[in-house]
Parts: sequence; C-alpha cells; structure tokens
Amino acid sequence: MTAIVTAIVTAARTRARLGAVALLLLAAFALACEGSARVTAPGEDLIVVHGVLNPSLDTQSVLVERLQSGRDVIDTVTFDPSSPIRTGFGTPLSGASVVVADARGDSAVGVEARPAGTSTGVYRFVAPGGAIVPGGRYTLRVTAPDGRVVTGATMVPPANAIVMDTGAVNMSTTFDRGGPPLALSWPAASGTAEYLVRVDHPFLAYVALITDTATALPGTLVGFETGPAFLPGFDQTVTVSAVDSNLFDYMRPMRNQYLNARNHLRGGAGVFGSVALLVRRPLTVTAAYRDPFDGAYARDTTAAAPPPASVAPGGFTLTVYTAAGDAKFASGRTTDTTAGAAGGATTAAPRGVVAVLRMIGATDSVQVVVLRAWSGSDTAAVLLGHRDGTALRLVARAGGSTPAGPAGAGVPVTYRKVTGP
Amino acid sequence: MLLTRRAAVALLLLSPRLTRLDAQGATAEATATRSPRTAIPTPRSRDASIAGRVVAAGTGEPVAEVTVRVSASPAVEPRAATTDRDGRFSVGGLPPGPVRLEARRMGYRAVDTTIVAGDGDTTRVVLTLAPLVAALPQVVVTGQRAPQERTDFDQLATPGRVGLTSTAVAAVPAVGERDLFRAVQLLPGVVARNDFSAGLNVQGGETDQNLILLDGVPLYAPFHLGGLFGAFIDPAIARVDLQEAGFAAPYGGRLSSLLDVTSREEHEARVSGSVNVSVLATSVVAGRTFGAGRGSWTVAARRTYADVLARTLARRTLPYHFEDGQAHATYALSEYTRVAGTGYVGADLLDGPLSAFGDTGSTGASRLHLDFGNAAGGVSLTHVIPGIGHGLRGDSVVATQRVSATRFASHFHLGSGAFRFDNSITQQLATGALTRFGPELGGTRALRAGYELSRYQTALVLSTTQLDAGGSGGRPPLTALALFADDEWRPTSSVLVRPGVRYERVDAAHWAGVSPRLAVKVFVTPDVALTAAAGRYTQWVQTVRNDQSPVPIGEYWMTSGQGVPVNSARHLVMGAERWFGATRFARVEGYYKRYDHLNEPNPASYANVPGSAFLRATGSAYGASVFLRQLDVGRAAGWLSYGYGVAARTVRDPRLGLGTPVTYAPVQDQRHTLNVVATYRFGPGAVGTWTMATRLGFGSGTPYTPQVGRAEVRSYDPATGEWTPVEGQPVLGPQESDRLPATRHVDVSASRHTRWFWGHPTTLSIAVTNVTNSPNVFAYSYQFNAAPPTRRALGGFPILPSIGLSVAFGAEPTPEAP
Repeated sequence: MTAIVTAIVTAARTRARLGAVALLLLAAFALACEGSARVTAPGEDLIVVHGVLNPSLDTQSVLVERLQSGRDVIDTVTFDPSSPIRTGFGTPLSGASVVVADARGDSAVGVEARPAGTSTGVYRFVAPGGAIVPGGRYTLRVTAPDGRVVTGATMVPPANAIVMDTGAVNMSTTFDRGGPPLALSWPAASGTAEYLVRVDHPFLAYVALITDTATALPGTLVGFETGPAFLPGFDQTVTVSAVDSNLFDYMRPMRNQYLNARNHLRGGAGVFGSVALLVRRPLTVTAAYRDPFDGAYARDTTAAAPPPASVAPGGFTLTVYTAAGDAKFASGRTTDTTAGAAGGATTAAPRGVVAVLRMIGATDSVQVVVLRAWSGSDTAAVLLGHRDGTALRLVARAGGSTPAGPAGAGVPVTYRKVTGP
Repeated sequence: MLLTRRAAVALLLLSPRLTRLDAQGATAEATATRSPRTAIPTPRSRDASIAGRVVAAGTGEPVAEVTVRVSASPAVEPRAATTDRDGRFSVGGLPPGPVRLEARRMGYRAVDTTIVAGDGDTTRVVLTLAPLVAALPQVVVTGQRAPQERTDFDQLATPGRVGLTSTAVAAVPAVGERDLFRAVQLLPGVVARNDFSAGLNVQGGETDQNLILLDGVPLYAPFHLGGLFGAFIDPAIARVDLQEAGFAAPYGGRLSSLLDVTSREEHEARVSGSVNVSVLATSVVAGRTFGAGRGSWTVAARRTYADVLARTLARRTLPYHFEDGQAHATYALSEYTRVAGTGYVGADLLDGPLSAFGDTGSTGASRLHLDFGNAAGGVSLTHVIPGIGHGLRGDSVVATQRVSATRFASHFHLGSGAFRFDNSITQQLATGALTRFGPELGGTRALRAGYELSRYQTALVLSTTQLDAGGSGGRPPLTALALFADDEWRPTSSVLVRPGVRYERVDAAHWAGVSPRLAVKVFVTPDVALTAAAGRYTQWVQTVRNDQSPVPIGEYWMTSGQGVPVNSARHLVMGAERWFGATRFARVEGYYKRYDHLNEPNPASYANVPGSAFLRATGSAYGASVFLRQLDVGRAAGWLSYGYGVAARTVRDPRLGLGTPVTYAPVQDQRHTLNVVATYRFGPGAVGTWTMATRLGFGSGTPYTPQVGRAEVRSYDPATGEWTPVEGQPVLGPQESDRLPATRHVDVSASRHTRWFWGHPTTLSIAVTNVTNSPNVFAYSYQFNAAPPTRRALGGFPILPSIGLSVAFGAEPTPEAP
C-alpha cells in the first residue's frame, strides 16, 4: 500500500501534468498576467554527473556537465549520441578528472572523448580490474578544473548474466502489434532496487520500473509521455535491466529528480548508478492493414525529374496506430531498393517513417516524415501534401539536419498505394 | 418551598398550526400552566423577577433578539429585555403579582399574555413564538440582518469568530462570480496565496486543516478549477461563520479552523428565488414553504460556460466546465421536532485531446480527462424536550442527531490508458448531542454531551504502464470515534466560561487521545470583553499536495494509518473586543499555535521504504490581528482587517540525506495582510437605488522556493550505454527561501437595483477588479539556457471588468440584497 501511495505521490508530482493543465486553464480562464522577462542573477554553478556502470559493456562512460544556470548559452542542435551533452541541451565540463575505483582500490581514469577536438564532457574508461563485476562496489570521484569535487558510490546489481539476448545472435524477430503480448521473464537479482523495462522509441523511450520478474508488453502499450510504445514498421529493441537504488531514484517519476539525486552525490547533482542487463530483444514491429490510409506506397516513377531518394524515398509502408479528433497517426518504414552488385535489386537499409493524416474540410492533409534511421532526433525528409483517393500527392521539404534547399526539394512527387485496403 | 416556587412556571405555547392564524396576527393561542399557589399574593411584598426562554414553534429552537416587555401595573415603569442566542431573558425589580408579558420579534407572531410573578423569587417562563411565514408573506426575514455578531459577543466565550451574511459576501467585488471563500479570505488572520486560489490558510495553517461544514455536513476541498472558485452557490447560502482558532469541543478532526456554512431557508409561500448571470456562470435558486409553513425547500444549480467563452473570445478550445447543485429542506414534524436535510453535488470536468491544450507530442494523440468534486448529503433531527426549570431537563433539553455522507473524488486519466489515477474519500458521519439548558449555580448553563462517529474510506487507483507500483488500493477503512462534553456556563453576568473535553479514538492509526478545550470571556463593561481560549486539536485526514504549485490542483486526500500518524496542534488565543452600539465593533486578538505532529509530503519519497510518503514535521504559528467592522444592517457596511502572522515548519530535509532538521517558512507565511471592504447603498429602498462597493487589499510577500538552475533529465540505454535527453527540469534552491513581492488589490463595483423583465426586481452589477493593474506576482518562470539568465513574473488577475445580472422572482428584495 505504501508503495502505491508513494508512487502516486511521485507520479502526481513528477509529470506535473496537473500543474501544467492548471496553468493552461488559468491562462485561458483568468488571463493571468505574464510580465516581461528581466535579467536575473545566474543560478547555482553546479556540476552535474551522469554515470552508470554496466557489466555488459566493455567501455564505461561518465557524462560531466555544468548545470544550466544562465552562465552558458544552450544551443538547440540536432542530437548526436556521440556528444549527448552538447547536442542534448547541456554544457560539457571539459578538463575534469574522472576516477572510478573498486572496493580493492583498483581505479580507472576516464578520458574525455574529443572528436575533432571538440569537448563532449563524455569521459570513457575501461572498468577497474578489466570488467565491472556484478555485486561489486564502486566509487566515483570527479574533480573539476577549478577544484570542485563530486563523489558518489554504487553497488552493481548482482545479476550474473544476461538470460536472454536475441540481439547477441542477431536474431531479430517480428512482433505483431495486434497479436499476443510480448512475454518476458528473468530471474530475481537480489539487492536490486527495481527492474527497468525499456522499449526503444523514435522520440522518447518507453520505460517502466517494476518489481516483478516477469512482464507482458501488449502491442498497444501506451506510455504517458511517448504515446504508443510500439510503432508499426519500426525496428525497436526491448531490454530489461536490474538497476541499483541510485539509478532507480533518478529514473522513477519524480517532481524534481535533482532534489533527490543530491542525496546520492556529494558536491553535485545527477546520478552515479549501475545496471545489469538481463534481457535484450530486438524486434520488428508489424501490424495488419485495417485503415483506408494503411498500405504500402510506392513512388510514381513516371514523373519527370523525380527528386532523389534522399528526400523522397522510393516507397514506404504506413499503418495507422492511433487517432484523435480529426487526425490519424501512422508509422511505417521505407522500402527503398538499390542496385545490387549482381545487377539485381536489393533492399536498402530501412528507415522509420511517421505520418499524420488530418481531415481538413474536404481535403485530407498529409505529412510524412522520413527519419535518418530509427530515431526521431533527426529527419531525412519531410513530405507535405494531400491524399487523392489512394494516392498521396506530396512535395518534398528539407527536414532536420538536411540542408535547406536540397536537390529535389520542392518537386512534387506522387505515391501510389500498391497494397492495403 | 423552593420547589414550589420553581414549579410556578407559565408555559405559553402558540400553536404551530399556522393555518389557524389570521392574517392580521391576532392574539396568540396560548396556554398557561400555573401553580395554584403562585396565584396567591404573599402578605409581605418583595421584588419579583421573571426569567425564561423564547423558543420557536415547530422547532423548539431558541429565538434570539426577541424583545420581551414586562408591564406590572400602570404605576410601574415597564421593563424590557432582549433574548440572547439561547433565547434567554430576565427582568427583575418587579412587584409581585400579575404582570403582562409581550414578546415581539420581526418575523414572528407577538405573544401578549399575563402571568403571576412570585413574591421575592424568580418566576420562570417559556414563550413559544410562531413564525409569520404563512400569515404575512410580504414580510421577509431571512436572518441576514440580525446582528448575530453582537449576540455572539454577548453569549459566546469563544474568541476569533467572524460571521458573514450572504449580503456581506455579495458586497465584495469579485471576478465574475461572487464567492463566499473570496470574502472569507479578506477576514483577519486569513491568507490567500494568490488570485487563483480560493483556499483558506487560517492563522498559519494549511488549506486542508479547515473543517468546512454545510449545515453540519463536512465537505472536502469545495473548490472549482483547482481553487479558483468556491464551490458553494452563494445565493443559496444564508451565512457563514469562521472560527479561526480555539473552537469548542463539539468540533474536531481539523487542526486549524472551522468554517460553518448555513443554507438559506425560504420563507415565501410561493416559489421565489433568483436567476444570477455572470460572465462565467449562471445560477438559479428557488424555494418556497410547504405544509402550511411547517416546511420549506430551497434548490439551486449552477453551470459555468468557460468553455464557450474560451472558444468565442480566446479562440481556443477549453473543454472544461464546472457545475453545482445544492438543496436544503426543513420540516417541523411537531412543535418540538424538526427535521432538516441538505445536499450538495459539484463537479469539475475537463476532457479532451492533449492537442487541445497545446501538446504537440510527436506521436501524441493522447487524451486528458480530469474531474473532481464533492457529493454530500445529510439529515438532521432536532427534538426539544421542554423542561420546568430544574431537574434533569432544566429549562429544556435539545436532542440533535445528524447523519451524513460525503464523497470527494478526483480522477485524472492521461494518454489513452497510459496513466489513470483515481482518488476518493468517503466519510460517513453520525453525530448526536444532548444539550441541557438550565439555570445552574446562580447563572445560566448549557451542558452538552455528544458523540461523533465517522467512517472513512479512501480509494487510490493507479493504473499506469510506466510506474513501478501500478495497481489499486487505498488506505484501510478508518473509524474515528469522538465523545465530547461541553459546558457553556455563565456563572455571573460578566463571566462566560466554556470548558470542554473531547476524547478521540482512531482505530486504523491505533491512536487515542484527549483534547481539552477552554474558553473564557470576561466583560469589563457590557460592551467590552476580554477573551482567551486554549485547546488541543487533532486531524486524521489530510491532503497530499504540492506546496510549490500556485494552485491546489492535483491534491488528494489520505487518512492516517500505517506510516501516517495523526496530526495534532495546540491553540492559545487571547483578545479584546469592544462594541460601539449594536452594529459596530473593534476586536484585537493574538494567537499562538504549536503543531506537535504534522505530515508534510515528502518530495523524495521512496517506494521501497514504507512510510516515506510523508516527512515528520513540527511547526508553529503566531500573530495578531485587528478587526474593525460595521455590520451590514444599514446603508454603510464593511470592515477593516489587519493581520500579522509568522509561521514556521521544521522537517527533516531529504535533500540533505542526513536527517538534519530544516526549518522554513511555509508558503502561507504572509507577515502582513490588510483588507478594507466598504459598501454604501444610496437610497432607502430596495429598488431604484445604487450600491457601491470597494475592496482595498495589501499583502506582504509570501515565501517561494527559487530555482537555481535547470538540468536536463537524461535517459540511459542499458543496451548501448548511450544517454538521450528527456526533458529539462528545474533545480530548486533551499525550500521557501525567498519571498514574492507584496500584492495590492483595489476592486470596485457598482450595483443598480431596479425593475426589469416585466417588473422583476433586478440588480445589474459591474465590477472592476485590480483597478491599479498591480502585477500581484505569484510565481516566476526562469530561462537558464541563455546568458544572462532571465526571469519572468507570473501575475494574478490584471485589471478585469466583469458584469453580472440578478433577477429575483416571487419575492421582494430586501434593501441590502443585490
């Protein structure tokens, strides 16, 4: 009971949805006064650390950054996983000393990754003693160039091995979104705070912290921030990990993670924790075509001067996964083909596609977004237009990191449904 | 001999069967019970006196403010007295023998009879007055104009009590809807956090520490829109009394204050009421008497059209509205037995796709549903057992029994099943008391003993796909039993003493305790009194709330039990009050409250640690207030209230992780509050006149927790070791370590009372709130992603005009009623 109560407390606070809704209502209702922005004093110059030890990885990393306190300008740029701070709304702290030590006193010193000489604040190291040991205790000491020190400690969940890793044998399986739930189970790991169930998602991973040692994920699983967790046509990986109490505290829904995180780090904020990967399941999500919008579309190659495949893929699938009001949301994957070495056609690496169909009057407005891969952090192409019967008449636009005015942009392109209702 | 004299009671009863009364208020049907011996004058003549009570026919309830005129003979100057709130009066210095008694009060049929006053002794009488509701429908006496405050001053030992009639509430300029809670917020010792919260922080207490009763039925968080408006339909309310501290033993279960709301009772034989239209909502109130005046009913309903306004004026979708319904009925089963019932239902409903709220989630299409509200109903039975001035029954014994059920529920659903949160608290309450009125120990006394039995059921349903503790549940049912004894004693004419004690037992919390109460009032002169009260108070239902939120939306109720101990506090109140005539007074009071056990929501609660949902806290509050008031019985009315208060809480701050106690000022710690409310009616009548009203307010800054930065929450992928950004979150500095700027309010309103709509009395009101357009900052938003950082103030209502229309039907308005 207490757990439920506590979860409600934290849930109600964390997402602050109620508060946000209240403010929205107030704004609409009472025309709340909003004053002009005035310069204020910089906030706390706090060091923020994100470090998780993971026995399943050869190389560990610790992110060191400065708190957004008004001392730095935070640029909004396309996210790059190799520079998660600079491209992820942060300011890297370069030149820090990052040392991780085990209980025997062995230590490893992190080295900052600096691709092209650019600081990232990502300090990589090989585990002390050669590997992170489940059940082992480790300490972290980060010393900033100005002498400030952040320390933390973690005990790696004593899970001995990954019990299911279809990814290790390159065994991707399909998962029918309308079929039976995806059943997962794993042995209990003592000393584990909770188990983290994570589903890759193009925009924001679905995560759940559970106490059980088994779960069943339905294809219609919905996250209250991600929306539907499984998107038809996408390649998504499901993982289950045992997490230590530090990472659990950081990840669980909290009104303010950093309030609590200060409990576990001295001298800074963030998290120094550990995980033990238990399950890894790469999946290709499928779904049956049911909606009139669903189907496999192929580009009409009869048009003169067709745009390049970089901005207008040769084909894609779409399946509506949810609808609200006058809008239908669909996802799929590209179905481009390229010339093979022997002269035959081969399928190019698929990319994720998301689309929105809006019924505006008598016209069905369509927006199709092609991702660079499976992540929504960057788009390869954006196609706008309308539906004409079973055909989609679109115009390619620049999208994401695609430079403005790419070749072929602005050229009309028609996609015709080749399969589907 | 004593027994014989005491037996000389003249019991004058007027028939409650009002159909037998003629329209001119003819002589009452009366019966008198007299001792044969008292009819014989004694040879030796000594001064006689008459003492007694006046009660209402049909209900047996005491009638205050009755003028009792006693005429012995033409040679002796008539004497007069006025009954107190218990209906008591006494007249001395009379010659023994026949005396004529005339008892009159507006709205009641006069009594005119003769009794025999005993030689050298006090003759006791009980007079029964019949209401004139059936006989004189053009006479409307709602009780609104009765100087209840003066009666309270004369008869109540308890300090810190302030009453507002519906007229006084209506006179306060308001945004859109007149609001009982907004008016109460302007009383001394009460802090309003901001323009968007109608919650009451009384003398340093939290908003959930106020016992809010509607005709004795408890309500939980009776607010709309997260606290923007009070939930009561004000035209259906007769009056509200706020007891800021030191309330008596019959009341318990809350730490801070008592807000006693009384429904309006209709006195018209035909259906009458009003239609009230504001910029936000429309309400309808109607009622009438029935059963030849033995009963009455009143119903009221209200619905907002904020959704329509938002769509029309702001060109945005606001799938939100609230609605209320209120009903109250009474019926006199006999001369001495009355039954009354009250019902209330109110709901806020918000439902729509997130896109309607500006959410542009990439794969969104989630839907948001939020509703919350009270549903409550109760029935009370009052029976009067007439006494003969002594013995077990004294003057009379009043037995009351009330049963009620209250349910407050909130539901929050998000993301097509992704998150579902339902909370409800149900309280089933049975309470009863026996009150014996009688002369004791040379004075008067009301001895009361009673019980209060509550059963609480809370439900917490959490259905989520992303939390670690999804499931259903609730606190175990909680039963709380309270036994109380209360003694209102007036040993001398200048001293009032009210001792009491309350024994409480809360089973699920395995807790029992005794809470003594004591109030004393000493009259220096008939118009000047010194007061003091002290007591212990406990509370076992409370909200889990986020004090950082400027509005109390998202709170939910929880009962005590495992890991959540019973809260307790002690009050000490002292003051002085002086009256200037019958309608004007000044009051000065000081208070000290010590919170021995408090449960503060834990911002870092840990699911795996039982009981970590709350932090153990202690606290204190002290302060003083000045209250000058002109009652709303004439053309001019209003009040000035100034309050100084200091509040503190001490908790073990989880951020430190060391259990080190941290003391801070809670959000309601407003050191200085000043409010002036003034109304003036131009002209003597109810129609063809204007009423002007203004409210001036000042409040010093309240504490808030500043942000010291913003950090990006990052998500870790155990399969790859990569981190991805999730969302930026504020990093907070020390709790409540800074203060918002002071707030200022100047509100004005003008009401024109006229006849529109085929001659119906109509009041057109125009109000302008925040005339000076003071920013009245209640929160800040920060931008830490730029250098230098910026801060934007979020303020309260800007200068805001509003208009309202009230059309009465079936009855003529009283002059003050807009």
